[in-house]
Amino acid sequence: MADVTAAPRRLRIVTNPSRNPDGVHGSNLSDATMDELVLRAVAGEREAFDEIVRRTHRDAFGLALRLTSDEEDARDVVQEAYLRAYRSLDRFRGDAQFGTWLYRIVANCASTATGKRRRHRHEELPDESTFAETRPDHDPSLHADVVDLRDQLDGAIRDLPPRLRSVIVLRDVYDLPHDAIAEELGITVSAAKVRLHRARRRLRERVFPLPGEELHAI
Amino acid sequence: MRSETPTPTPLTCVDLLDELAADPDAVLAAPARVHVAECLRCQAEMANYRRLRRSLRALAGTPVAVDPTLEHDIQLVLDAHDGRLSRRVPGYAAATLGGLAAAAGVIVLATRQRRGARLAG
Repeated sequence: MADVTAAPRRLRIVTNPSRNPDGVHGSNLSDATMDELVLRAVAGEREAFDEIVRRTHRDAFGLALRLTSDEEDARDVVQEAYLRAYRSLDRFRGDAQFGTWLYRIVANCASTATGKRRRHRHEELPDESTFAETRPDHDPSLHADVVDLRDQLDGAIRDLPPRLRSVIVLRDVYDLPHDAIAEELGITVSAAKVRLHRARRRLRERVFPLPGEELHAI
Repeated sequence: MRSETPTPTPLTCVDLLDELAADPDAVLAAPARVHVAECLRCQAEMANYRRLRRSLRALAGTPVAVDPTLEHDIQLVLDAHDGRLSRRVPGYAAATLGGLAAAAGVIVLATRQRRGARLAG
């Protein structure tokens, strides 16, 4: 019978004794679930945290890149975020998914980084070759439309001012709640909502302009 | 004297700008519903906000090109925090070591075969 390890809320983990006869430690990391890895990392197992990095760093980088619009800044943000996560693992309560917790740390680091960048240098032109195309599609014309829309959206997001960009990326792309966004960006919930509406309006005008708006949207 | 209930001022498109941007799927209040039902522009605006929301959500699943050295760099940062020397072998070094090991294996095999052939002869 499987051993049910009691853990707070989402961190209820069922370990398989046949795969892991010695308990949680010692099992194959690549087979472990994220919850198992988090528990092992919280218990101080560095290799478990390395495996978490292996599985999550692409998503974390994607978020950082969308928040900063700069590949080098995104790299720095992701490294800083994992270091902060590693240092504060004991404060991860397990009442949210680890991915959401990590996203919040990335958002916080990116907010700090874009704040610093605004103080120290001018905005640079966005890099055009950052998003990879990997999704196959049977209908080439439909596929082209989807890719075109995605590119337009990515371009429009990159062109938003950082304060609007961060809110719409966190809320509408990564589905973080308003209060979490406000907390990580150091603003009030109502300010976050106002920024979100403004960002949505700008994107809507740019990507889906109504008749008569085309000229203004360019 | 008769008291008259004031007739509500009809909403305009501008009044609904924020409401539609806030949540295009929300159930609108009665005056807003009346306006949208009669206003093609607001209907189009609402449809576009819905489309925008779906498209933005789909971006989260879009893979981003990641430099393969990023994972290694993250682990170096963690190593530095742990105060230990990097126990990781960079990719090029691993390839070199792998190549050397393979070459050594080939030499050993060839030597054994030659020795076996000499003994048989």
